[in-house]
Amino acid sequence: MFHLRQSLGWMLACALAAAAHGATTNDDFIARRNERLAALPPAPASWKNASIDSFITAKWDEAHLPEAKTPPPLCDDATFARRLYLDLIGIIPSAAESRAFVADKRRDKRTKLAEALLARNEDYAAHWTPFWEDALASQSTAGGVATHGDYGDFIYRSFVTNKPYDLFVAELLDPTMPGYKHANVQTANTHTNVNGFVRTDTHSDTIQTAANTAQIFMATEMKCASCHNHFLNKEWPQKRFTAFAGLFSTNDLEVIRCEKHMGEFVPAAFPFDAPGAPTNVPSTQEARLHYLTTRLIDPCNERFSQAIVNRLWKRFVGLGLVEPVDDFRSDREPSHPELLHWLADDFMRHGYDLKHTIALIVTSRTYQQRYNPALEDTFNMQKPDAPRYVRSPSLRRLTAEQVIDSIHKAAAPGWSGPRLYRDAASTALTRALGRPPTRNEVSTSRPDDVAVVQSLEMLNGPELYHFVYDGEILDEWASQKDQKKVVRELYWTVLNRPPTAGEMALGLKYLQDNVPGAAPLRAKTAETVWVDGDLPPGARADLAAWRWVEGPAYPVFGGTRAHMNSASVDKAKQQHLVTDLPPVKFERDDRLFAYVYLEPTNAPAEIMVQWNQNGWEHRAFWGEDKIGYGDTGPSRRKMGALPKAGEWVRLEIPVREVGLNPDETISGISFDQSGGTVYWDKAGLEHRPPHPETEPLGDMMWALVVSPEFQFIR
Amino acid sequence: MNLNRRDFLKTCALGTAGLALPSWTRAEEPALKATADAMIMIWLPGGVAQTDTWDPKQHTPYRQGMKGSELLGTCRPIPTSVDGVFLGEGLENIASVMHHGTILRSLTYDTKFGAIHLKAQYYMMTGYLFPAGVKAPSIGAVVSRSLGRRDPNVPAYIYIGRDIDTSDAEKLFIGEFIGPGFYGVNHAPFMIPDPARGLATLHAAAGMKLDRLDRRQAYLNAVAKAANQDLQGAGKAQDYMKVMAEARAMMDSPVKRAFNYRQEEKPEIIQAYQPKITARDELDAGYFYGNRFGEGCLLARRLVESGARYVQVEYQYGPFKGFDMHENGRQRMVEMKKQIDGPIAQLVRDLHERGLLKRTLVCVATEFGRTIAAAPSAGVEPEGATERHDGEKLIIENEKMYGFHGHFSSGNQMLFFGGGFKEGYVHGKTADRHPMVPVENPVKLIDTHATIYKALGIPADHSYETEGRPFYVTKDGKGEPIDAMLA
Repeated sequence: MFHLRQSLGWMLACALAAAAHGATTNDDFIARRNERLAALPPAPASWKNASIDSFITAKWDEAHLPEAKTPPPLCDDATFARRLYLDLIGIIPSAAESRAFVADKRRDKRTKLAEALLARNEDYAAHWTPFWEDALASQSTAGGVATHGDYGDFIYRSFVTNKPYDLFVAELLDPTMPGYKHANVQTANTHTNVNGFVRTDTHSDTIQTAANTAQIFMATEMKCASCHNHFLNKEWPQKRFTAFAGLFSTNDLEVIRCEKHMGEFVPAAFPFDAPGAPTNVPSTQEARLHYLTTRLIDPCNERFSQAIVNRLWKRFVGLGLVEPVDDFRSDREPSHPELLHWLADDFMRHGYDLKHTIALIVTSRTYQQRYNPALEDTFNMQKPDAPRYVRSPSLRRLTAEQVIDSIHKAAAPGWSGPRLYRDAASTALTRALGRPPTRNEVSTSRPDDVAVVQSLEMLNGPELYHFVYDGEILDEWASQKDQKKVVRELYWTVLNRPPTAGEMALGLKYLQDNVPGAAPLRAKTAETVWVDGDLPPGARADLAAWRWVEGPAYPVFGGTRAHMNSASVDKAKQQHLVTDLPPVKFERDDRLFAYVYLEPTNAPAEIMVQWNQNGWEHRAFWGEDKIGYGDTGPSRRKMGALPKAGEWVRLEIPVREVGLNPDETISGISFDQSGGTVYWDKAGLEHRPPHPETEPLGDMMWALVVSPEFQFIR
Repeated sequence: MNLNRRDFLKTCALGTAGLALPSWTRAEEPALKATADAMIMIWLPGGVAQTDTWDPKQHTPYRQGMKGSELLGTCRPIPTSVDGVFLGEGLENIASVMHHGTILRSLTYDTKFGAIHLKAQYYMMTGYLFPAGVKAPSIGAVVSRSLGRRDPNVPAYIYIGRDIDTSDAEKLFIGEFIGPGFYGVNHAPFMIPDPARGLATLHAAAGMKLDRLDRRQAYLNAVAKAANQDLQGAGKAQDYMKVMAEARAMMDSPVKRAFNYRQEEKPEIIQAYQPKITARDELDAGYFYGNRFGEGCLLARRLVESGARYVQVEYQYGPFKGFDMHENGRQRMVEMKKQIDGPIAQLVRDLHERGLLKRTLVCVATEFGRTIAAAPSAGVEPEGATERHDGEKLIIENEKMYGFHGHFSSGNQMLFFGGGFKEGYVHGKTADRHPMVPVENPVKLIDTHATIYKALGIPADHSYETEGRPFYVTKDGKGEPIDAMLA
């Protein structure tokens, strides 16, 4: 076995001495690290021709498995493309992308696809961001409660540029780094909250920060040792942990055993030995954090690189080489110890380049194997040492982000975002799919359980319903006469493969049983106008607020008059009316509309329309979220950017988006703005007859989206 | 397999490292004999002024220029159905059912939460101080996981009266601590924001007809069967499809009927659950939720009748709204009591009349009590300050300042009805002058939780594994039930 620590230890002392003041620039940081890497002893000769696959097959040989003679088959191209898209950028491919890949005759097309996807920097970063937000407990302040700080943008930007992993971690932990991500300090209710990953306001904050750092960056569970000796892991007596936690503090910490002060202060120390490393810990907090970071990310600390390559392995293969991935222990062997060493060593020597190691993994034969439940590895806490052979990937549940973004992609092939990770809102669907409402605690895995609350969301939840049934692609398919083609497109679009003959027959039968033969494509729409140059008869309104203007001095859309308002910056103004508006009943597909003209020289920050139906909790807004009535969802629905200024624009809002009940009358409308000058003209309801021809297509698309093949990566 | 703390230590001593991960389908069998099978938690966040409700003191009417220390109570104490036990005026209905319940008057926290409601709410809902270092599960999730469903077709943990979709940081935080924590989505609450609208996902989306829904589901099953052979052999995919079928079955379950209260309940019963106030009367119209809370209590009763295990009904919290009063305290309490008095009392009465109260625990809770404010603009004191105030320095210059506007972590109170708690009992006593801290039998929150769990048959050192270690239903498994409150 290759022992890096001993070989490199002798020179650690001088390196750390040189590093005492920290790097002045990122280049300086990288140059110093490269010096350390250049001094690494060469990798063992036995690794000369090593690859991921050689370590995997070696274990098959050792265990005399049949796979040693006949390796398990690879997955087909269509499955591979879908797997790789979801793994690297977190969204499924389009039908066109899948077809092009399958048709591609190049021998190295799988490698080429990996390269192409890794080069889609924004998508790649978008897929990693929620993982690290979970892992760093990234979130903004919540109601005066201090948190670990909002790292979303920092993470995203770091992954767009493929920042070296050691630099990424150093910027999180080491205040002497030029790109240090400073904590956000806020005062609320006379109390100062430090919102950052490193929080040391109280003894317990310090202890938790230390435990979080150990868990995320060294895959070492220490929380248990924070208050007594670890029950289960003899490696972690409480004092060893307390010594580590002291590195985050201004001074050595006291042992507090289950809330009892023991009166014993433990000298701060890094928990893993490196021969020759200086043990004289500096005395200021900043210098201690720098010392800690230097020890943590140094090539001598193999645990650091092993922890991250093991996470990558789990992310792409399904189970870590060490399980659980947050809890490396000296008494538990990795499934492939040498592969773990090799991957970690290779990762370091390539400058802690995540994309390099990811490319290694996803282009290996091992990654490309076909999913086979009979050969799939499992991990059971009761038998942690049961052998794992990696003859098949594990079946992995899609995350909430992967599910929802992929549905959008399938429903509208031109869809380009915004992706879910950008949306702070927590909804019934996002929670059902396992996305946490907040990130108060660090976590590196989402639960992948199935639960009735989740299945009900899939079955009847309005969010999933609209994502699917409002899909543009349904209209396209509805106009397609060749039903075989429709079924084929459906499979390519949703599952990224052609249907089998049996699936084709099922699909055709569903279409034939459910599509009314001669249904018109889409009947004409009709409008009910409520406001057009005047208030509706009998309406109650604050007439002073309604300022009517005439053309051509002012912009008017139709007729002779428009109504307008001007407001100073950040001031909200409103024109509303109350009366029962026709029709008494409307249809669920109907749309509200209003014509608006924004003054180009004095555009507002936001415009909003509100409707009254048992209260005003039905709103849609465009532009910045400033007016603030209601809450995210139907009572304050975000419609997008402000419409173009200087021309009349028709705003359209599906009634269900703002939670209006088709069986009850709408009894008021209000036109609101924040700042600027805004003209409004004709407003009302557009009647859209139901279009029975797309609904069975929606049903079929729903079934495919909800089916296990969509919900899991195989 | 599941271990309590003692077993766990024993196991450790023997050197076995593994802890079973309990299967989601199987409820654990705790060792204690339960006195309650179901629980309804009436959750009144915001900080209910105990002096105006559960623990009235001498009524000291408003007088301009009076000192804060002179203000002991903004309402008269009224007698209850228990001799010698009084509640604040405006709670006549609850007073009439007090012989079914226990008042805990001496709950007190070592931690002073100062201005921060959310941390105190987190503490009450999970039993852990924020941040717990682990995603701590709420009481409802603990009950759901430990006891499982009471009826296979009725969710174990149902939450009434809180909005679902939000991007508001404060509401997101709340969504977390009423949630399942590390237990995962299987123990997440079924959210019912408004009882009148029911549980939306028990009905087909967009008015889809059931026959079509079922044709669609049959197509899903056929599609899944026709799919790749490998996928069909996968246990995870099979479980997934099983739960889809279970979800469909729940649409036909008795739980759905529970929502038909407007058709099935007698008018006088529905009336009893209405607030005795209308939007027009309300000082703070933005905080009037109509019948939402009252009908939530009615729905909670019907859900328990249908087989629910744990139902929580919230009077939805909003900063500076409702019970979170920082001015006009007297008036605000008059109004809030009109909202809660009828529904809570009727819930207890109904359960009793139907013979359900014996085995159903009804608990009424808030995150902390209130005290006299230190200064005219209260709520900005540093942690622990209000605990020392006696109001000597506060001059009440106008009626807006007349009320209990300070957060009080040192004094909180709870009510318990049925489920094995004593009937007509008061536990603990508080001082009659400010600061009105507990002076007899002070009780810790951890022990209060242990008492609730004991009634439900869940040991205080019951635990589930996370991150390779046990996580207990009360902190470190150390809660000690207060047997004096149990019958």
